[in-house]
Amino acid sequence: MVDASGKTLDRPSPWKGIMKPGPYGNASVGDVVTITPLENVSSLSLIARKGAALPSLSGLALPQTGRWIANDALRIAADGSRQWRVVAGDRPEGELYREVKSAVGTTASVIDQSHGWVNVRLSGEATPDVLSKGSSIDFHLESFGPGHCAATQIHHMMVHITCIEDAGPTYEIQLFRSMAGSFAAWLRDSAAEFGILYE
Amino acid sequence: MPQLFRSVSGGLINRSELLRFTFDGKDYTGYEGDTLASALLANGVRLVGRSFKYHRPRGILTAGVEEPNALVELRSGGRQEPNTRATVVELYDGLDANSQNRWPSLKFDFLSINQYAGPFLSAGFYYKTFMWPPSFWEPVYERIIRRAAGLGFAAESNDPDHYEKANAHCDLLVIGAGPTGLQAALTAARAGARVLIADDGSRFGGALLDERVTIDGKDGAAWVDAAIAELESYAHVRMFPRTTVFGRYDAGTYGLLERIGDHLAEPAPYTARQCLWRVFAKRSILATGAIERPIVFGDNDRPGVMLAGAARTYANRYGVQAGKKVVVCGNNDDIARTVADLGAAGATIAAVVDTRATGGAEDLGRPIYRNSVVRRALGGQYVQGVEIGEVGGGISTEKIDCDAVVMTGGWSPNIYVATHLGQKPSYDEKIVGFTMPSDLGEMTIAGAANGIYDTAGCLAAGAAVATSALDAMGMSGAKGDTALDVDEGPSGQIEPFFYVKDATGKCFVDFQNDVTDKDLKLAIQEGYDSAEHAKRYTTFGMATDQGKTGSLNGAAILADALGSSIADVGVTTARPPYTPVSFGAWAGHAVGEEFQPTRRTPMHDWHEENGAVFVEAGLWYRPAYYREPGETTWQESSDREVLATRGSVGLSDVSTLGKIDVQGPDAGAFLNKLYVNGWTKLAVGKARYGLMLREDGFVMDDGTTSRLDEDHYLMTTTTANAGPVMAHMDYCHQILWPELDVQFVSVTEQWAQMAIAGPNARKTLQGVVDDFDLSNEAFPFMGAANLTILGGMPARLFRISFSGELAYELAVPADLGIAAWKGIMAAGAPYNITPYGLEALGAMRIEKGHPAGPELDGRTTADDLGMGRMHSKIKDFIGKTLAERPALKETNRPQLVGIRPVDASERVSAGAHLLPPGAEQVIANDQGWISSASHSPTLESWIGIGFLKNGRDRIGERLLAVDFVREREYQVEIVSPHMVDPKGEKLHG
Repeated sequence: MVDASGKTLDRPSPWKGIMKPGPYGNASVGDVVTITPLENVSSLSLIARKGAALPSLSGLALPQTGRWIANDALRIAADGSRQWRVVAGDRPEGELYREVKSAVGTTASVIDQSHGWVNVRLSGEATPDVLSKGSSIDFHLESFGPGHCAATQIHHMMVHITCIEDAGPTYEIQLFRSMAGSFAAWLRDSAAEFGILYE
Repeated sequence: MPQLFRSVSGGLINRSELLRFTFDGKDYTGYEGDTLASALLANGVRLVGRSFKYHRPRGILTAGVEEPNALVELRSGGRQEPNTRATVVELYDGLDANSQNRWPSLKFDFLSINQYAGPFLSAGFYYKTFMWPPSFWEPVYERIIRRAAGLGFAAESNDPDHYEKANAHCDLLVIGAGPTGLQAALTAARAGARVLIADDGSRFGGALLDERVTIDGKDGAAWVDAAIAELESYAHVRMFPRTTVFGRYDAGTYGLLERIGDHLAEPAPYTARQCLWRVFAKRSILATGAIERPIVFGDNDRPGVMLAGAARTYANRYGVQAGKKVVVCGNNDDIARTVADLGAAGATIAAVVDTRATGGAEDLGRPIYRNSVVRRALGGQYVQGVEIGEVGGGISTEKIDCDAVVMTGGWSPNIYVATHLGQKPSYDEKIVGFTMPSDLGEMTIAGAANGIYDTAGCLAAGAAVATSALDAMGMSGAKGDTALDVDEGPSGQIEPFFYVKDATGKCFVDFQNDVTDKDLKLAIQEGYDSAEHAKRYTTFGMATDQGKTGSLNGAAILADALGSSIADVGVTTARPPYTPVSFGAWAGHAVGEEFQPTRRTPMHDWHEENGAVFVEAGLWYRPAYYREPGETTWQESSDREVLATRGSVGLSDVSTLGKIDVQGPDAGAFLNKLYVNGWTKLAVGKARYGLMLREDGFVMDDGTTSRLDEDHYLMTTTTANAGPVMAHMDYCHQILWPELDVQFVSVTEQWAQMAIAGPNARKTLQGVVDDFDLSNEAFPFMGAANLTILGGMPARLFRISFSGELAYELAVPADLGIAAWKGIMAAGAPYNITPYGLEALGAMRIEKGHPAGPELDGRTTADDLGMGRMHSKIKDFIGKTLAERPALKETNRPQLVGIRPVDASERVSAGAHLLPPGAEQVIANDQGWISSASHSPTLESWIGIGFLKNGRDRIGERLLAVDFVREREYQVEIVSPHMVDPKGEKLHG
């Protein structure tokens, strides 16, 4: 499970066994919601210390509440007042944490959440309608478009929703690992009328 | 069966689409576009139900949601639905409907004898009659009364359909899609506002579908179609037919029920039957129209007595005659249009009875009785004639044969939804009705709901209020055509008339609750001299219709009885929901296994594959025990797991314990305030047991917290309290001590955690750690360290013990949990390592006297638990002051003790109370209780822990345990709670 360099660990997907790939619900109508579980995501909580001015990360200035910003390396999404979620793609175990911790020094507390949060991407015209069945956010693209993010609740599950792009439109959702099964059950129920393609 | 009451042509029904349905098992037909009520009437069916209390025959009074009488049961099996109003049930092919509250049949209902006992069954009858003996009320009287009175039956099997909840946002919510609402929606939509328009009918249009009216040369329905087509062309307009706005809540929030599949035999595949919407609107327009009032006269509930507006709706929209020979009565100009519309539909008008001496259309070509009222409807199961007399005359002067009586007492603005935030309506003598101020902050009332009853006025009002709403939101744009040319019958002139005094027969004010004028007068006599008190005494205005039809009539009767005015009496409060909302819609997705979300640990799949039987702990699924081949009871499995752990080594999944990462320069100071004991001097690399109090001095939670770095701690909580402790910390930091530089976040989900316990725990662990000294000297009890295992896997190791054994808890990043678990199982194989579940964990902690949830129940202090000495004397902490209260310092408080049965074969049961042997088993003699119990394979006996008054000084005493729930009692001996390894030698080994 550890490769020759001792850096990469094989992480089994937390989505494994939760949904089999394929079409679900009213998928014959064509205008389906595509669900893509994301694997090997690195993420962390970044919380500013009192009065500290935080440096930019990978050239990204930290966004204000309700907004996210990204480059090829990182996505930084506001998670509350002076609190952010930093997300990156497939990185060796603990690398993102070490990198950010060393960058921010004592200006912020850094907490690795790479394994605590699971990630899923939703895309398709009906996606805002599906999300509206769970969360009371106004998902109209003029209110919650690309660049917006929010911590909210879906069927009693805390989730963090990021609007990635209006093509689709496409969203990424982050939630507690233990609830992946219940979230998938909610999604299956709520998107069934539009049809689902689980990738 | 031929539809004998269907007119030859006309109506908005599709006569080419014949639908079959049954009512009380009998076959009928109707047309697409019919309601159940219109189809029943078309077939000549008038007797539709039995009343709530007197079981009187009832028919169809209205054509809308306000229907109090025609309540029917739909469908069967899991889809059975009681108390639906036939007037709003859309007919579909195969609909199966039944009448309610009758036995053995609708035509012959045994309990209809109740109506002859009427003088005894008046308001308050039950309270006065069924008083003695008091013990009979619940088991005898209430059951008999409930069986006799009532409505339909709920389904007894699970509802197979799916229900949903959803949220929507808009600039303008338009409630009601009649002329006012449609014109408002068009105006706002043309200006680009996000509009959401909802109407409870199957089709938009409201009164424009019911009345004969021409707008700009088009008939009403054609104008509606054009309006709908235009609204559909706007992407920013959402249209919700079949949707009731049932509640208005704070800050522009509304509750809506969308009936997506109720008009179908079964909802379409993958589609919900109903959806409960929460709508957030910047502004709203209430355009819900008006509800027609009945006139209260003798036996005014006979099937065939109907509101005039309803009769016009049946004639104009459904092509159905309310009767062949009709008496029209009322107090306003609607009489004329009723006569015209019913005549056009082919009915004969037997007579017109007008309370007014003058006014209205003079020449209707029918006998007109002026200054006259219908005093009583004649007939039994349907109306066969009327007695009429002069207004205030006191006697009947003439009888007229007829098969229907249609009445109009005027219109009451439908303002129910506007009143939901608590504002009271006031009486407006000009329109003879209760109204609300039209401007209610974010809501504006318009059209008939605001007392404007002509179509031209409604259209103009819709445009005007939408324009104002746009202005208020800072939007502008094309404002639409406001002046439309309307042609309709006369309306407006009305003379107040509510009830016939001294009428014979029963005069119903509230049909659904069988409340008569006499009941209301009795309420006043008995001293219930306000509308709200009279409501409680008589049930006037209660039940599913909340008195939508007769509330003003009732107010008038109360006013006369009090010698007061309608304005002073007022109307009773209506509350959400405006019309009933099914439980299915309230539940939405929250049914069955997904009633609440479930949580699974990273090792869940391994547990499942290895025989785990799960138990729900909060939302978590935890292994209760692992069933091995041949084991038939949980106790066999649990005993094996305990003995294997205490004898060699066991492995348990403890990932569910709450884990909170606490960082920052003030992290230690913050913990000092949260816990009773101190944290700033805890060395890096050490763990400590901590106890937290609530502000009131009682214990809140406990757990082990470790110091990982100078400014970095890791707190653990019990599984159940992880959320509440996190919320408590947020409160403390944000409100009490915002000056502290501390950051914390839940990391429960980040780490898979497992306990390795037993004499061979160290040897097992030695097989997985990478170059880490596990010796007692290098890593003693309460050590905490970062390390790697299995050749590079990052991990955290804590030497802590809940079982009392030499034990460690190992944490790894969650996705690696299964690999770590399997690695430990492999390393422990030479020692026959045994996975153990919550039962074994519970048995071992009870053997050790460790408190858990049943002991931390919010009633216990640190001292009760034997941990009073943990309270720091040199620092302040939450709960310190109130823990010093005299009641919490009493020496006679229940203290934690161990419980052993005197007869080792006796089963100890949690929940049993401890009493002195021979004492009377009353609460005054209660000495304490058993909080946790388990079988202990180590001690070969059942054991327990519990709380006993001054228990620590009573070790060795024998008491009687009385289990009142299981009806058992047994002798127990009080022992120290530390029943296994009391000196803790094992865990330090």
